Amino acid sequence: MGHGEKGRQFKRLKSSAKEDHRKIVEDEDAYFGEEGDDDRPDDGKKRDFSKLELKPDHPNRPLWACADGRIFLETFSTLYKQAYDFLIAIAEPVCRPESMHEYNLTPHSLYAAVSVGLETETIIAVLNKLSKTKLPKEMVDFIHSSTANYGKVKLVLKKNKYFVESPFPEVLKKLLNDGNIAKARINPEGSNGTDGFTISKSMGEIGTGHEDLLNQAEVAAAAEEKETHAFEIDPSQVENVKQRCLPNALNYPMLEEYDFRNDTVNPDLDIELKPHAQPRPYQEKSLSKMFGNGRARSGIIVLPCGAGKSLVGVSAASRIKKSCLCLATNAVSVDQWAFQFSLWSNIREDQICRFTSDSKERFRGNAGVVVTTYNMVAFGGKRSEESEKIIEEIRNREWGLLLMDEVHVVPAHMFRKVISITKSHCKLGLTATLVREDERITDLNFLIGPKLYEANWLDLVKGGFIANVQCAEVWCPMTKEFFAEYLKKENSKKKQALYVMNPNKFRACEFLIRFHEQQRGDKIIVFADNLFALTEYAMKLRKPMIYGATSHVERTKILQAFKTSKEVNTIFLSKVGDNSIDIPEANVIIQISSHAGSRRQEAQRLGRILRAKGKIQDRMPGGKEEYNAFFYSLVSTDTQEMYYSTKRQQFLIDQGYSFKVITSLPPPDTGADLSYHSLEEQLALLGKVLSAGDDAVGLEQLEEDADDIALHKARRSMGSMSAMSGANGMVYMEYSTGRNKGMKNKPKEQAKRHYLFKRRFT
Amino acid sequence: MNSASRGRMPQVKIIAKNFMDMVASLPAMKLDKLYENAFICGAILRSLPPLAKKYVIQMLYIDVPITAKSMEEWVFPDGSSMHRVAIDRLIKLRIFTDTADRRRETTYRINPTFQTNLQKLLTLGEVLPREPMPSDITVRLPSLEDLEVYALEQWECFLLQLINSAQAERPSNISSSMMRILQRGLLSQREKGAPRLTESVFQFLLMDTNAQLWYIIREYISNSEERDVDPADLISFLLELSCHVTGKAYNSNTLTEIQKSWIKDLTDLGLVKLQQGMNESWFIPTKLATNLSVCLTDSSSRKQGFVVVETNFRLYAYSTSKLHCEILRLFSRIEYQLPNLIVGAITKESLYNAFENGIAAEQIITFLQQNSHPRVAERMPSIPENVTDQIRLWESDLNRVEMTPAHYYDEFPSRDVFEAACDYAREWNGLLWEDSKTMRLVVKAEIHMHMREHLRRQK
Amino acid sequence: MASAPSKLYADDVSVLVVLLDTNPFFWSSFAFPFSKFLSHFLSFLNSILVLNQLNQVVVIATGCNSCDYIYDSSMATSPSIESGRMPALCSDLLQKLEEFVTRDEHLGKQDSLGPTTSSLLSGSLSMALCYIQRIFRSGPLHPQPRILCLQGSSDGPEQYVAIMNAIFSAQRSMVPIDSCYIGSNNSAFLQQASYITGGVYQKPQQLDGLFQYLLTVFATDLHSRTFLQLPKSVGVDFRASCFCHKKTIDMGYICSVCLSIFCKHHKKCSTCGSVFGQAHADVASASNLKRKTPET
Repeated sequence: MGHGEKGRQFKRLKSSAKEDHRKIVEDEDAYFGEEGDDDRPDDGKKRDFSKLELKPDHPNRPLWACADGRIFLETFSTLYKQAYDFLIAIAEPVCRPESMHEYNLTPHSLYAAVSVGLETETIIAVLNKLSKTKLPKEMVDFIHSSTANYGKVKLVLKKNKYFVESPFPEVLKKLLNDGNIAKARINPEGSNGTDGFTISKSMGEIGTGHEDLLNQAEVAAAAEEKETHAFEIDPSQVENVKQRCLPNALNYPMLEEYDFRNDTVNPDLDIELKPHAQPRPYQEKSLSKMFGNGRARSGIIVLPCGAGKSLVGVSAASRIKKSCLCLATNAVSVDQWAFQFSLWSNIREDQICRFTSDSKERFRGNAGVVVTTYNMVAFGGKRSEESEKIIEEIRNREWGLLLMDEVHVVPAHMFRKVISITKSHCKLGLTATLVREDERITDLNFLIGPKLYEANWLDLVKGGFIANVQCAEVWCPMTKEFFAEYLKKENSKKKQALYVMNPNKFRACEFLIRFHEQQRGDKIIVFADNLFALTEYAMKLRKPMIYGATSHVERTKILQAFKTSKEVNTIFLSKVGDNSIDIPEANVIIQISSHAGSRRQEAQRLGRILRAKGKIQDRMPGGKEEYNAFFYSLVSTDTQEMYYSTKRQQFLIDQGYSFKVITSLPPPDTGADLSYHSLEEQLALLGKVLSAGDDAVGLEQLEEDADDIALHKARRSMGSMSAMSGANGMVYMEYSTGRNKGMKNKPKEQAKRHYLFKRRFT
Repeated sequence: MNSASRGRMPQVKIIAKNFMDMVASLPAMKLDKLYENAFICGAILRSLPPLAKKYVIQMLYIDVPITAKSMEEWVFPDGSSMHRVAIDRLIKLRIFTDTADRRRETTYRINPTFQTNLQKLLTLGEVLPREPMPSDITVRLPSLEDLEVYALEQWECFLLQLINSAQAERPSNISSSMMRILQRGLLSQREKGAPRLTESVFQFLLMDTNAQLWYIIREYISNSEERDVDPADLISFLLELSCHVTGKAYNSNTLTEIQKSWIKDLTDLGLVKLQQGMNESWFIPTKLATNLSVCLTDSSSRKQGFVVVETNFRLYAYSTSKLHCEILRLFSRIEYQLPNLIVGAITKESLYNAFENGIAAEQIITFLQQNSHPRVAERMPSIPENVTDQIRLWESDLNRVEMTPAHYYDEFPSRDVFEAACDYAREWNGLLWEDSKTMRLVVKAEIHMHMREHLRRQK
Repeated sequence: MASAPSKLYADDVSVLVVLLDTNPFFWSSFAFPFSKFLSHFLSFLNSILVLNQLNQVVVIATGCNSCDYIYDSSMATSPSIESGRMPALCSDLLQKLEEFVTRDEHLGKQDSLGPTTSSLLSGSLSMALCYIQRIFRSGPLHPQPRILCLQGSSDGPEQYVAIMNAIFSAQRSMVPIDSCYIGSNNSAFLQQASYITGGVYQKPQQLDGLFQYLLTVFATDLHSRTFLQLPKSVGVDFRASCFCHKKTIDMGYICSVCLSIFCKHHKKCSTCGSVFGQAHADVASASNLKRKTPET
């Protein structure tokens, strides 16, 4: 809890393995240095900016800007809204609690700013206007140097041809001096510009949203039409050319835009948003960033779970009105997305199809929407004939929009594959968290595009768009016996099992379930990464569970019961529950075991209950549903779990959530009301844990999870290795028949046991 | 695992005694002498708790003693404790004298000198101890705001020097008399090198400004005895000073020599400002001086706070004062210093640092609450709950492990000897742990010698 | 009604707004001379200022035709007010008072409606409440305000509605109204005012001891009032005065639109103009009372 972010925010930028960023890294070192070293006496001096001169009307201005790129924003200022919009466009948020936000100005964030049409001078002018002090020279220089080359070059797909476009012909010339790019160039016949560049006009930026912060002249300058020069390149060389333009080489990273209005080659899709689809203000804002200058920009939009990402995706598709390929993480998600498309838009039944191992539909007509999973597209092995045909079609079609859900989950190489297989004009990535433990955010930036918009969790809570969640961490002391075993060296592989199966934790969980079910009639989800624990808990408490091996049909049944039946109020979910399974009616989450220090997972799980329920008035402070969502994290004290827990919560804490610590659950007088009260029961449980095989008590090996790799570098198991080598088609389980296809690690008896268990609850 | 640290709680808690408590401790004759001055009567009246003030007013025009019983009837039953406090105070200050009347009942009567002079004060207005100087001589008088800034600066400078004198960064400007005062409670002299700060100093720094001021003044007065000065004189001078008007200039030649030296010391603390004219020199009392005699409850929370604590343990202090920065450094890690903002983080390490210096979690929490920025002060609670909870939890972590020095015995020759040893240890209440199966024993270190004796005798 | 309001007062810092009756018609015929009264009053003011450095006193003079602020301790021109120096206090106040009385008399001469002999209590009450509202808005920590009416003139029944409005407004803001009435009969208005707002109403018997009286009773701050037993008022005259004859009545006719009170049945309400319907001639019949509805 608040152990201080020791250099956390800088790690992201510095430790990327790719050599591309070495140049940036070196620059960053000069600016950011090593943070988090408490003992150095001159630490304070380095960050002593007290000599900066305050402007006379400084109370009216909302932010401070420091020479090292750190920006502080007062949320209670009258200019907060505009300042927030601006800052989120140019900087990365570090933390956004109630009264004071902190942001970091980084080369990436500036790249993102430039991508949405903000120019260097505009950025500096607005920052200056909002800043309480005169902008430090270092910052101005930094902005200049970072943005000098950004946004000058665009890659546009027009009429099935790729063009490298820029308003500055000299930049294009510079690019062409590079051998690779020159080779990739296709020389046109009969061009009208000098050096063989085609010249055209492109629309200026409309509605930057910063009108009130800019003066008239600046607004006009942004909106005016610009003359652009371009040259064509060979489609097969696109990736190459992009690579050459990256910061480590020519340092003119390319923006990708899609001029869909003028695209006459690709067939139109007749799709409109339905009248009842009313986008909320933040959804509008994110779309305006994407369609700012009349073209469609590629990039990533970050919205908290439950805030309505699907509407954003569907709206984007509706605006572009071309064929759309929508990628989700699993089959359930695919169904969800298909449903969302039908819900929000007037797309015809036959124009939308799903492509999963269960359903292999095709759409009729020239244009349509295909919803599928990443794996289906990136799968490298042998497919069925039908699948093969569909994949061929996907490969050959020129997609208007590539809509990618949950981009933070998918590993980078899978993206690479997908993006290289499919040809799309515009790529939109949707996600709730831009946090990855492997720090491959930078990859996403250059594969998909920059961050277009990021919503503020607390603002959304205040606006009533997402639920107001009460987060709590329940400390469960380990019993003497369990703790003794935990400390023994020979049990090191079983450590997790021991602290998850802690009887006190069990009792706390049981108590909470009972309390919420009986006294409040809530719907509860219990998450557990550890399969052994999941099964034990679910069986002992007689609740249904869903995990990797659960069939699609089975899952649907359980989820349906959960939604509608009064009997089923609690379900147990394994890691599968982390992504996309949409359970809008749940409002309590209990986490009994979790994924090491994965901040993303924590945020994802919280997202399961963020969907705002009830009337908006009730959710306001003082209303009867003000806190109607509860998030419990059960932690065994004095174990590794405590450390991980702190780490996991960091993301949520930075968004403004706070975790209350509860140390006295269950109440000491509950005694035998709850299980495992007697010593014999506890010892029996301990015996069970110790005697189970090492593999059985480990984490569930679900699809390959990049976070997993990053966090458990020390103990990479066979499953992950094979995934890394590209044979991940074998690891991921696409269940249509319920047969164990790839769970190599699970012994057979366990599968059988689950099957029986499943039978009881069908 | 948690570090098994010394886990100490601060031994000494600094109590801020009111200046008026010191006045009350003067001997009877001195007090009576003081009451001959109408303005002192006024100052004393002002310093009383509200109920005591009322009693004085009630009794002001009554010449006969009133029985304690009838006085008790003046209050409602639930005010009886306040009543007692008020009466106690009045008696201590010798404003009321209690005597037993013929029927052996306690009666109270107001001190006649006090009575007369207070009557005069109320009806005719007071005569000040000295007249302010005419304005044609005193040029360049600071405005009230400037004076307040000056007082604050002086006081902060003084506190900073206190901290710095231990860090030996700069030679201190504190006068030697002041130094001696500080050494008594706050600094501890080492053989060589700069004096070191004691634990008390950290608690001191987190106290309210008024409480700090009273502490210093109290020490100053106690210290005066050693300098062959009658503390009563000093006290009455200070009282007199508190009756002056803030911002007015008073001629220094109306002071005695010793009073002049006192005034000089008080400038160090920001109570007065000295100025020089062409031929004259004068002193100007600041608010710190005129507030000396004010009642404790009044002035406590009237200053504006400046600290915002967020749920993610980050600290934002709207202040430029170096003193505030030092104080915050006591328990948090300072990260940025901007022109009007100090940014820091409360971390486990920084708190452990504070705990090791003897500061308690409650003190830190109280300090943060009392100094909350007005924007968050309205919030309930003003400091996020998870932060206060965590601070307390971290403190209690330090107390999880209790250490008792002990001795371990094993390899007993026989069970009988073992059992006997256990019994023996139990008699002495020193048995900490035993394992009869393996015949091992742990006893408190303090009975180790006895145990040895006992075992030798067994042989 | 309840005594001192439930606001938690931690200390005794007060703002006292005194409404000083300067009605010449009253004072000219009153036994106790105005100058003596003033000296008691000034000593009282001084005492308030001595009791606590932060206390504040505001004096509003209630004339026959106008009311005005004549003293505000927080804005005193002479900076020696911290010591409550009498001479400065006196001179300031007396000077302003003189100016006020002259002005008020002047206004009376100009008034074509004929001389009014009652003092404009409603006016000064309103002014006091406005000033107090400003105190409330001065920040999170503000002293506790209260009003003290020093009145000798008898009630002006034509001000009934305005005074009642002011009283309820004070009640809502939790501002107690104390009354020290030195006239001959009791003032029903002031009795009701103190009763409703939780203040103290007293009619001193011996005016020679006025200063002591003021000091012991009316100088008590609101904090101490929760503990101290203050003199209780004997009874409150809740009777209203009828609007037609200014008689004090306890049963009468009431206009349901503006709540004006009449002793006899009228065809039309003289205050708001609503027309009453036919009434039974029998006044004594209680069932007919208060049932008249106007035809609009």
